[in-house]
Amino acid sequence: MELHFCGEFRASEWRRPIALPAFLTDAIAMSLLRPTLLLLSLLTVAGWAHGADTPPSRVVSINLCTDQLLLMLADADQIASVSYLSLQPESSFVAEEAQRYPVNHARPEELLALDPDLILTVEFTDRRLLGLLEKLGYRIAQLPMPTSISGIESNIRSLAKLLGQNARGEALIHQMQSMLSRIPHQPAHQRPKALFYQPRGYTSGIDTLQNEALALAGWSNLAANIGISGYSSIDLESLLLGQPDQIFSSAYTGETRSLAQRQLHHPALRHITHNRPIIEIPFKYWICGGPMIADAVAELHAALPKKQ
Amino acid sequence: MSLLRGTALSLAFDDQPILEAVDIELDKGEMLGLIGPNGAGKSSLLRCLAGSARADSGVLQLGEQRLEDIPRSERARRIAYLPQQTEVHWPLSVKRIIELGRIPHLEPWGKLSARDQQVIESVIADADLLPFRHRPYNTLSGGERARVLLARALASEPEILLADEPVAALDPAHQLDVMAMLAEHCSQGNAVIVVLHDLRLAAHFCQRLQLLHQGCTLAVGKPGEVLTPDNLENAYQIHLPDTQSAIDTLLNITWQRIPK
Amino acid sequence: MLGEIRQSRLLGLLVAAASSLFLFSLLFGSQTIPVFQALQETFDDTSSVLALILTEVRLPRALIALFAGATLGLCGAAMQAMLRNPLASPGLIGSASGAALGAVIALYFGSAALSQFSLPLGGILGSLGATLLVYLLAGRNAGTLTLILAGVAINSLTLALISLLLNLAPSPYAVQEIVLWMMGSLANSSMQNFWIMLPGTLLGWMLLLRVGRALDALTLGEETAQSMGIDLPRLRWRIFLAVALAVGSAVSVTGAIGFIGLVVPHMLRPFVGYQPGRLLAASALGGAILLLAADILVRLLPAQTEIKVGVVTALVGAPFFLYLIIKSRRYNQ
Repeated sequence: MELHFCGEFRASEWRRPIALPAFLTDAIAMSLLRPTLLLLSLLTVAGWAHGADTPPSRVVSINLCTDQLLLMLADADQIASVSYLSLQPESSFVAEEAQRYPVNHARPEELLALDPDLILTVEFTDRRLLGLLEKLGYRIAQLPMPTSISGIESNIRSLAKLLGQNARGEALIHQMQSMLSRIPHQPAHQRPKALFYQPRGYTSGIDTLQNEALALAGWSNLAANIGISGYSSIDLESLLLGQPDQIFSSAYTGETRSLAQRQLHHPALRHITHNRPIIEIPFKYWICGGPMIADAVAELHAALPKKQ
Repeated sequence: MSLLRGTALSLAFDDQPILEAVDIELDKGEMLGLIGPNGAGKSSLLRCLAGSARADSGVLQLGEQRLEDIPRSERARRIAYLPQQTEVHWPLSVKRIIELGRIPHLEPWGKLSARDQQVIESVIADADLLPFRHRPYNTLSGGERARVLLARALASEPEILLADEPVAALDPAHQLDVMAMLAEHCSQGNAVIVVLHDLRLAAHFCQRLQLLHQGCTLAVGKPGEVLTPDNLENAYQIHLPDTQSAIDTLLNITWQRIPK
Repeated sequence: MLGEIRQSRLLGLLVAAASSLFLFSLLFGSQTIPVFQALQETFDDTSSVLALILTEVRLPRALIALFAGATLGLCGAAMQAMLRNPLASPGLIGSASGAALGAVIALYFGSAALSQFSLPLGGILGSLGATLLVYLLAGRNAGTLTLILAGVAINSLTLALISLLLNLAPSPYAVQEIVLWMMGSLANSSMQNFWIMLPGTLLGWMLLLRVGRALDALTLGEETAQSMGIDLPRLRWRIFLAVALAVGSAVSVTGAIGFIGLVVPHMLRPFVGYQPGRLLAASALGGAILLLAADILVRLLPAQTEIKVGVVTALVGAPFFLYLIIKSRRYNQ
């Protein structure tokens, strides 16, 4: 059986937890912006030409991950454009909201026409595009891709500061933490073994969001146990020898016809989990690190075998 | 009743007539020489008889049966064909190539029987190939190759052998060897049709000659009747003095193979 | 100079080598497992992990390597004999890439409602189409150069079409699978994959059972073969169909594994006295041996992600191909 959650519902739940008056958030931002910017080691800020003391008012995001955080944290009038990827409900938590803004395809011409005062993206972005934008004097902020919940938190904080929305950032973090704390802790000896097995035989080991989510949900991550780190392929024999109780998958698409996905139908996978079907956890929980990780943990927790 | 008979055979290629109502007849024990200038249709006629070309019209008979009514395998056992310039595509040994001649006689799964082996051995000996039997084909000289290919054709013990210029590019001694093998085959009660360019060899070894010119039969009969100054002039555009000595020179080979 | 070996002895040696490699491929995998315990548990019919690894992971892989390798070796030998051209092989004259194209169409664009046998069917049709196209382009008595050029043209076309189709395919994973179709892989095969390829493969083999003698006769050229009672058009169709059935089915499961059909017949030809008919069985066994060995190597190589088996066969085959070219160049001078 596959679990289906309504993306739109979740998306709105994560929207702007507290609507602080604009003058207040602006004040907090102004007081915090300058010193913290120096501390943001992972944040590349280029073209720092203007607006140092006022929050940006024409922010353009060119990546789904920054789209989502931007829509959760910023005021509507701060947002100049989000990427077209944010419109796709399969991967985006903000698909409905994103419709209110002009979308971009990360093409230089488009971006120039938008006249942004801040361009948001993630660490892995076309270097030629970034180089060009930097040369033209645009201010660019790159967020790292988080591999842990603390990484998600620091991303939220960094962006909130950048946008002059600190209070909203803290509230978002608080909401995520309180949801995570509602999930009961599973003692180490009672943890069933599970792993993520993706199309093409990829799994999530140490230092991945999936690893942390599995642990918080009460599973023992087989991939991490055998020393796999990051996103890496696991061969079928190692997987079987680990004897997982449950296999999760999280493909970035529904069931389509491909060799990669056919691999998930290997009969040995069904045998090893005694015919427990692979549970599909929507990919949009982790395609970008964000507060929605709490929902993923809840889903993983719900999948724990019921006690006899 | 003749052994092989073709009546009114016609063949055209791209509206270009190649054979025009040619008759041909072959008797048991006979060697028939097909002669004529280049492009006269000799090879085409032979290919029709061998079944690798299909005449547009005309009738072919083997004994009393029409040739197309005879099963492919039986036909292969009775008629062997040695095309001009046969290429051997893999460096098989001499013995293996000659063994291929037995294919028409073998059952799909059958192996070479003792009799097959016996035929192969005697053909190898007759063709004077004993020293070469294990040599790869590609290491042989032109004369040796010609003998191997002829031996392959003879190994199928055909009633009729159709040989297209088997002595082309051979030296006089090897020419005599090959012609002697053909004559020997005829003497065993079989028949041979051979395409030749060497008129003296044709006159010397063939009982009858058929002279083709522009797809038609210009003359057919005993060598002396066919190789007349008139015919040679019409067909080959060559002039032969109409004297007995000139004609004798043409009709007789004065050299002989020295026995090894 | 390597000499001819008695056929029964040669086949015996090859069967022994193929069976050993088959067993070896069951014994060794990416993980070391107690094989005897695994065997015992398999025969006890207990559903243990070890039995699972043996029967559901290693067995299908070994079986597919055996059958696909044999198919490529056999079809390479048959095509080389029919076209009397030592460079004719499923990889070079489009049979394999055509099969991959057909399989790609069936897999990524076929409706899911179609039975799983649409995959080998696509492979078979693609293989037949591409092979016939090369054959028609090159002409019946094509020289080596013409045949290769026609093969290069059709191969490039099919590979371009595969890339295009995988880019257009509805699945986001499709694009990354180009290499898999072009190089071939046996990783993660299941018994289901084996059953899918089996019928077409066996049918193709059966069609080639009785062509040995006709191929022998073809050594002397088409006219002579015809005069020896060989029905040439029928033989040609039989071989094209057989290659399409066998290669099409195998490639639709493994991708286009290159060079086996080219290299194996060559290596074994001297041992059968260059006789095309005798080469068929030997070449089938040789193909199985080469693919089993390449697949074992791939599994034992310490690599983060498993290397595609086609990479290994190409690494062995491409230098061999170059050697053939140099040799034929020297021969022609």
